[in-house]
Parts: sequence; structure tokens; C-alpha cells
Amino acid sequence: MKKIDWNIPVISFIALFLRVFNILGEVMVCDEGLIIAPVFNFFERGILPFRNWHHPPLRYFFLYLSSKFLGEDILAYRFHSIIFGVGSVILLYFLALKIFKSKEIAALSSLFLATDPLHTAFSRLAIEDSQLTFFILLSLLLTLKYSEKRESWLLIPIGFTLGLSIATKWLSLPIYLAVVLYVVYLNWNETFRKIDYLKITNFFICLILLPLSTYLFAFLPWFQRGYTLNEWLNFQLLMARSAGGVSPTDYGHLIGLSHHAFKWFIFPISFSYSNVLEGSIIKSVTGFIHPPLWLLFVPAFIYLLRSEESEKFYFLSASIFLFIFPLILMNRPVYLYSATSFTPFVALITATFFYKLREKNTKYAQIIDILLVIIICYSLFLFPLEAEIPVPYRLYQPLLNIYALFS
Amino acid sequence: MKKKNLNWKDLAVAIVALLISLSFVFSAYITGKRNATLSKASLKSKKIKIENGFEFLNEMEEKNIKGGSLLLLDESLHTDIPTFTPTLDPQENIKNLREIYNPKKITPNEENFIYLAIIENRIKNIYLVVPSKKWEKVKKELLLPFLKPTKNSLVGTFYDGTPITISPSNSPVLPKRASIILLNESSFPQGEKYIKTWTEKGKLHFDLIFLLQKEEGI
Repeated sequence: MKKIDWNIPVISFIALFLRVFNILGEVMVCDEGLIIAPVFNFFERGILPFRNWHHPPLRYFFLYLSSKFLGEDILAYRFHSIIFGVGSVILLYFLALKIFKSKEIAALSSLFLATDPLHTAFSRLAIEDSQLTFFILLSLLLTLKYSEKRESWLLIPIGFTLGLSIATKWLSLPIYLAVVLYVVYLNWNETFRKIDYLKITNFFICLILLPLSTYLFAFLPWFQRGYTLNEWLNFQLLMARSAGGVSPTDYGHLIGLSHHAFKWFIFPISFSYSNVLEGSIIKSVTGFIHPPLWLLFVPAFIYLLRSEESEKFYFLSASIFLFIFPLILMNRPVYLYSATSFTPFVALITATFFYKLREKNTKYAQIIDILLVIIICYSLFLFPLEAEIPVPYRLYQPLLNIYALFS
Repeated sequence: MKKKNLNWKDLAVAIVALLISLSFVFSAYITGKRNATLSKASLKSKKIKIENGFEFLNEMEEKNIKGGSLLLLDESLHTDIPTFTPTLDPQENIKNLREIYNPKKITPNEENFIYLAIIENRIKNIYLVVPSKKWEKVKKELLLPFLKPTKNSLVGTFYDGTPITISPSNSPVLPKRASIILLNESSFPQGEKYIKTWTEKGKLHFDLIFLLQKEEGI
């Protein structure tokens, strides 16, 4: 009989608890309102939301479904985010298991993600970043499964998932590129050098046509306005122009922040909607970068790049590089939302680093264990702020002051 | 030479993926086509005289015009959107925000009737041509956040992503085919002459023309 892996239910439960606890008590933030308000309008008449029309519309689909079936209340609005958030934790477990073949690494990285202050915060809001993270992880996991089995039917779910992730946010385009390049690399000798027309056609349909048509399908309600396919193509250009033209001042008055992605790896940054200095109760602090993990990410990644030699790890590294470099080099402001989808990579790399370090230096094992406990405790310490559980302000004041300094 | 066997599995995958892709593309194509209904059968007259924006909306509804390209000869877009004042109650904000998108909740007037035509899906894109004498003034007034100036026009989108092109009458940017032309004769008295010239030169094809002859309150 197959032994049950208790890691998954236990970590999933922790993830679910942190994403559901006090969910009804957490005040809705303005960005949620901007996504929730136009949902029915989009599905019934195809009108995209004002100002935010340049985002791909898949983010409205799951919100629409949960509002339609669960009714219109805060839990229904946030339901899909919670499910995608917990789902991402589970997917990361399997992804780590596939790449490093270690249950310890899988458990630690998914525990990091389950308790991560940024991922937890955005999985509790009706904002699409948790959904995006889920589809990115799913496409990577399916690609790794394909690399093992080379079964061509797997290309269909890969293509479909890639389409879903791009239709959620363009941020996932580099992941798309990484997957396509990896699949081409895997089949280079067998298919591309020998020019196997059927297989090449297969790749073209599954990895180009299918993601593109899935992306197009997300616009289906928009076509109710009478647009043609040609107008849809022109609309993509308008979207790109508008999204690329966002300047720090466009939303500055709302959130008061403009981040550059490189800062995530250096400074403790938080993302808040209202003043944290109000009385003794802290309100609407939404997300935090977990400084120990993010600070450690770059050295840990370099360390692993030098020591790990598996093909799967190279694929993961390529995905990380392709994902983060455009964000770092981008001229437009990149807000902390976007860091949510990168959180699983941070959790995975740092967890692996700790595990390898512990394995290599057994005499420091206890110190590393204490460090890991501190990291998890730090995440849990921040949790009341994400969930808006009333806490004495003085307890958090020094920490919040540090965050405020860099945010 | 060894003959290569056909890999049925690959073929089946390719066919299934292709069918899924095509069904997605066709459903989008058909949805767009079905909702662009300038029902020509009901167009008894190509030229319709109207007195105000309210009549324009009524005519559009009566003729079941949907998804049209509008060529507007005027000096204003008539796209005022209802104001929204955020409150401290997010649920209340959602309710109020929804009313901005709800044509049934908005009273039509001279300033917003094109906006209503947009959110009722009567119009899917707008080409505004303004009299060249008023171009500089209009250019300054209409520089919406998402409109960018090009050499001789303003190009961009309305707040909801509806494409808009604004140009002066001496170098107009015209749609390949305008479903509807709306000419405001009080602000563009030479409009009909221009339309005639553009049509004769083959620059403009259209289905229906509305002549707004008196611009008074509704």
C-alpha cells in the first residue's frame, strides 16, 4: 500500500488557515473594488473596466464564477484567490519534489510559501496575482512531467495552462518563453534536427496556437461589442501601449508607491492602502517582502547554480532569469503585486539552499534549524497585519518603521 | 530506404489541439460577428435627421444598431462619464461604481449620449473629425489621459479601451468603413460637403448618417 505523504495535507491546512482566518473581517481594498465592480458588466456587455482595461481579462472569469455561485459577499469575491493560493502551495511541493527529489526540500519550500507574508496577503484579496502564481507553477510542473515522460498529449495541458497564465497577466510571458525553449531543447535532436514535420506541427499547434487561442478566448465577452479578430489584434497593441505607458504618478496618489523590482532583493518593502500609524490598531497593511528570504535569494541562487547540475534545475533557473530580468530592467514602475508570482521561486531556492547547507555542514544543523524556525515565526508574526487582526501597535512599531523607511 | 511510420498519437494530439484552438477562435469570431448588427433591412433611409442625443440613442435602439464604427463630425466627444465619489464603505463603492457602467441608471444628456452609446454597445470605436479652424482648441480640451498626439491627430482609447481617433477636417483620419456618421451641423456647418467629397474620392464608405440639426437640451 502506498504510504500517505502527510506533508501535503498538513501544509495545505496551514496555507488554508492563513488564507481564510478573519477573511470576513479584512476590509476590502480599493484595488479589489476596481476589479469586482466591472465583472458583471464585462460578462454581460463586454465593457472593460475604466482605466484598467489594458489588463488581460481572465482575472474576471474566476471572480465571476465564484460571485455567481457563492453570492455577492467578501468571501465569494475572494474565494478563487484563496483556492489558487492554497493550490500554489501544493503545486510548489510537487515542483520541488520533481526538481530536487527530496521531500524535505518540497516540504520546506511549500511551508515557506504557505506562510509567506506576501503570498498570503495577496491570496486573501480578490486580485489576480494568486491566480497567476498558480498557472505559472502548473505550467512549469506539467513541463517537467513532459520532460520525464515525453508523452505528446501533455503538450495540450501545457499549452492551455500557458494561455491561461498569459490571459491572467502578461507578466507570465517570460515563463511561456522558458517553457517553449525547454521543450524545443528536449526535442532538438529527435525532432528539429531530423525535421519530423508531424512533431514540429504538433509543437506549433500546442505551444503557439493553443496558448494564443486560449488567450483570445479570455476576451470572448469583449467580442460581444461587435469587434472583429483584426480589431482584437489592434487592441493588443493599444493594450501594450497603455500598459507600457504607466508612469509612477498614474497611481501614486492611490498607493503612494513605485517600486523597482531589484529593490525586492535588497530592502524590506511593504504594500499598504491606509495609514499604519492610526491609533493602536493597524489597518490595511497588505503585503510584506520577507527580508530574510528575499535577501538570501541571490546568494542562494548563485550557490545552487554552482552546485546543482540537473537539467530540470537548469530549466528552473532559466525560468527565474527570464522572469526577473525584464522586471528589473523595466522602465515603468513595477508594484509589489508582481512580486507575488516570484515568491514561489524565492521559497524554493532558499529552502533548497538551507537544506543543502544543512546536509553539508551537519555540525551546524541545529543552528540552521533554529534559523528556519525564526523565518517561519517571522512570517507568522506578520500574519495579524495581513489579516487585519487587531494587534497592539507598539509591538510592531519598530518593524513597521523599518518597512516604512524603504516603501 | 526505411519508410517512417506515422505516429498516430502525435497526429491525434495535433488534431485535438487544433480543434480546441479553432473552436476558441471561431467562438470569438462568431460572437463579434453576431453582435455587429447594422441591420440593413431596417434602414429605410440612409439619412436621418435628429434634434438631440436622446433621439440619436432612440434611433440606434429602434434600428438595433450594435457594434458600429462611428464617424463623428463635431467639436466634442459627448462622452462625459458620471462622477464617482469613493466612500469609506467598499461595498457601497462597488455598488456606486457599477452604476457608472449601467446605461439604465444614467440620464442621457447632450454631454454624455455618446458615452451611453458606448456602454450600450452601439458603438465600438470612434473617429472624431473636428473643423480644422477649431482643431487647436479641441486638441487642448480633448487630450484625455490615454490619447496621444501624433503628427496630425490624437490617437488612443476611451476610459474603457474603446479606440478613439481625433483629427482635423483638413487632414482627416477616416475609418475604412463607418457604420454610422453623426454630423453635428451647428458645430460643423460644412460637414455635409466634406462627407460628399470624401465619399466621391472613395475615402469614405458608410451605412447610415445622422444629421444633428439642433443642439438643445434634452
